[in-house]
Amino acid sequence: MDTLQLSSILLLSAFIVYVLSSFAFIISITGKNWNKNWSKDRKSAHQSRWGTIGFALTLVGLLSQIGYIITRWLFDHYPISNMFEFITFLSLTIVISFTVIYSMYRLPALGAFVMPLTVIIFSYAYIFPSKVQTLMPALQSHWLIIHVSTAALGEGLFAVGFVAGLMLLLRKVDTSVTSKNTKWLEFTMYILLTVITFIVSIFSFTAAGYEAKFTELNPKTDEIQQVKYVLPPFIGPATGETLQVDSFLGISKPILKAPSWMEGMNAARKLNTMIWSLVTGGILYVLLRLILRKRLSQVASSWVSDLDEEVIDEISYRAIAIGYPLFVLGALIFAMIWAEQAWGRFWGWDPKEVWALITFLFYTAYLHFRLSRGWQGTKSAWMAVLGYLVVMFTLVGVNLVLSGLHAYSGV
Amino acid sequence: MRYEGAVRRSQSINKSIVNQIWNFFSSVRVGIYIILIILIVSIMGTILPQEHFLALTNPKAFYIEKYGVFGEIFYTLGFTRMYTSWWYKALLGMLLISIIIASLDRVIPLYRALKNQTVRKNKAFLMQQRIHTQWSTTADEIPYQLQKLQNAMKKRGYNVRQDAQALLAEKARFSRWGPYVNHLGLIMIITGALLMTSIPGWYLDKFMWVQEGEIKHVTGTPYYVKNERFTIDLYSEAELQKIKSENQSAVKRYQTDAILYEKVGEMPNGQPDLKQVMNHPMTVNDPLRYKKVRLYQADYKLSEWKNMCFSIINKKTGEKHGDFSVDLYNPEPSYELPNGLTVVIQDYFPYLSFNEDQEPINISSKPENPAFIFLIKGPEAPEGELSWAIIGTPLDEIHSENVYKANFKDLETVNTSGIKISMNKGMSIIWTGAAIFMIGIAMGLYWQHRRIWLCYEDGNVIMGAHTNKGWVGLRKEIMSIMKESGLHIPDDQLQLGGK
Ligand code: HEM
Repeated sequence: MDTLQLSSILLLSAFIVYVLSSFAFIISITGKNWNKNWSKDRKSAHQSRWGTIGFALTLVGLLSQIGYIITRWLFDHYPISNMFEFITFLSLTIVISFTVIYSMYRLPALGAFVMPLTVIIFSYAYIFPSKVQTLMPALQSHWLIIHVSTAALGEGLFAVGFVAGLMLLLRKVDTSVTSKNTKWLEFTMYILLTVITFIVSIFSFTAAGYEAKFTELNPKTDEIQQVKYVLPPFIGPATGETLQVDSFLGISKPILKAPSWMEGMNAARKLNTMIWSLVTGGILYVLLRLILRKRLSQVASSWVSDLDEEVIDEISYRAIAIGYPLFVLGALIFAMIWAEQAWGRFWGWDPKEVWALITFLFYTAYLHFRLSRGWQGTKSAWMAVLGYLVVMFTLVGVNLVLSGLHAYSGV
Repeated sequence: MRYEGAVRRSQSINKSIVNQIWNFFSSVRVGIYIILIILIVSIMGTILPQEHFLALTNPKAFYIEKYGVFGEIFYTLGFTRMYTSWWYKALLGMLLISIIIASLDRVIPLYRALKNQTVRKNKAFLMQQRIHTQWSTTADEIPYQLQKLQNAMKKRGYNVRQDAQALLAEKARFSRWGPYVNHLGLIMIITGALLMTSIPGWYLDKFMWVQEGEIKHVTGTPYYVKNERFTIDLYSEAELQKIKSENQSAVKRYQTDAILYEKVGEMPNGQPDLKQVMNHPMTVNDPLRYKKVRLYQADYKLSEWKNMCFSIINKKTGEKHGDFSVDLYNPEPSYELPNGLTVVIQDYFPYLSFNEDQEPINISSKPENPAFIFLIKGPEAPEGELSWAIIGTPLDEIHSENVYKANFKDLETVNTSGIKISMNKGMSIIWTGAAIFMIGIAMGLYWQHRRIWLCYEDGNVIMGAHTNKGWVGLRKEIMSIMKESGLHIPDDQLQLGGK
């Protein structure tokens, strides 16, 4: 076995252990209601035992993932230079942030929300090719390591801030009545479901060997190129022809064509993926509502019903307050130093740079609302949730939707 | 609690214009709105690509053609040049003013208030604190209790002051200065960024193509740059094999071996007198740095035509009369060959084309389709014969009378490096500002200002505590201080939000 194989195994083990730790945390907070006759002490004993198991598993997974980083680094390079490596790294930073915050507040419920999020993000990484790739000259710099690691750590803490914010909303909002807050919470649940169905769909169709192929005009080179879809095509390319579409539920050709202004290689495929995820996420949402006969947020809120609001509020804020300086240092200052060295300007208004600035401004507004305008509770929790959406758009959305110098490859 | 009840200028009731402006900008609500406006405007600027990434000759037509009505509106509103527009800069200017005024408005009152704190506070004040508790004790006990509490507090880094039977323990007060320190850093960054392009001679951002062997003046500076050699290294077979990559054309390094000269005077012939000051192989992450000037490996062109080599042949005898080589960028007026032959360049078309009347014309200074009209003089043609030389075109018919013939022999190519030159004298302000900003946010966010007050009144000790953030931590700390001092306080008496 060479170092590369070892590193892949370590990474996969980390993933599996994170799944197990998610379950342990979920058992910790839901299990206490399994037996109505349990005394208060018995319940809290159950909770802390499974919480400890969950946290121990988290640490095992963390070590394994650090082992992956080290072995892959020894083999060739520090693994943050393509989408697969970056997204797995992002999940690592969430786990590190969680570990830090958990050792401060020891709240198993936090793990029951953070670790599943880690698992979702981690599995998103496996959509991208995991091969080691050659490093292009622009990426050959120590600043790549320093800049991305620090920024990602800040983003990991923002993820914990987001999760705690969501928990606070579930705790505070009365999810049994219809209100603006419950509607938005349901919407948040729906978005999380679309992310899950997106990932599951890609894995299932890839595993089943599904394929649809089209030709498409590449507007940059004016050449006809082939586009491969992994998911069944609701939307075909605006230009070009259908080569082959495996039948799925009777869909054997695209139902619609992408609008003509959506040129650009793969624009139609990205639109198709998005629509597919929104639709399947919607179906899953409706199914779950029919089965549970409750709002999803109502189910989730029962997990957090016994938590101290002030504590979750503080966790969300602390995570963001710790993450903010790291984010500034990594995503802005180190980024500027590196850009000055590689491109001859410290700031160039590239879309990725602008979005890093937007993220920064957003969390700056969050801090000021909180510090000086006394925003706490629901308002500030919503900002923590929205903030993570901004972070994710900066990391993933910009690469998929906007173009620029920073683009890693995208699905 | 925030400003310790100190009066700020913005709270005075004087309603002069200056005061109204002051009040406007010192409001945090206004500050947040400015931040949010910049945020939203910046998002809009990323919807379509900015002009400066596209190098367009007719941007308006481009945006209309590509994005239709939306593109036209976007362009007309100036959103395609957003980040350098006057109104975007004006927004940054307003942010700057707001930060300055809001900070000045608060920092001095806060300083005074924190400096003049009294140790003894009244009972109502303590009971109002988010963390508070009380317990009964005797007048005999109290000195011992206070002493034990003091010790436990000091061990945890508190600065404790005692006034009769009252205590004030304080920790990490400096963190209260965090916001002001970070705002100062921010002021430097924004000022530096707004100034750097406005002050003449501070900022230089140029791009130039330099051929191998060529020395070029860097406009706006006393410097000249020479490109000694440009190379591209690919990843080796072994390196590719190790990672099982099939990408044979993966580039490992772009490199220009550059020499930087400084002009130290003028030579008698009017040429600049150059002194070498620096010699550096520039690669993508490793620019040439000399004083404030930076040269970057930014682009390249491979194998461009440089010299064209001809041999002169006597058509009748087949005899060769020697070779000459013409620099396509800078041809000599004439070339002397052995046996008394001279070739005069009568006309040169770096890029030959023909107009509607089928007359030869030149359409570019780039030698991509070079053609010559030579005047060849020799013993057998003392007056000289005109001779066309166009690559790849046999012209024997039109020259059938000629004795001499210029045969194309060889083409020498050259690589060209795209070099970016930049200088930014505002950079040191920005980096210093960035460092101060970082220190400030770390001070403010990684430390918390914690205060604990204690006073003894009518058989009761009353304790109140305050922090600017991190209540759970303060609560835990107080619990352990109490425990260490041998005082047992029931958990639920030290309420976190205990009001
Ligand atoms: C991009 C711009 C800005 C950034 C990055 C920034 C950054 C910060 C940070 C990080 C803090 C909190 C630090 C801590 O909790 O210790 C803070 C506090 C503060 N900021 Fe800003 N700020 C900005 C703009 C403004 C503006 C425009 C105003 C006012 C109009 C303002 C007024 C304040 C005030 C009043 C505080 C609290 C001061 C205190 O606690 O005594 N800031 N700022």
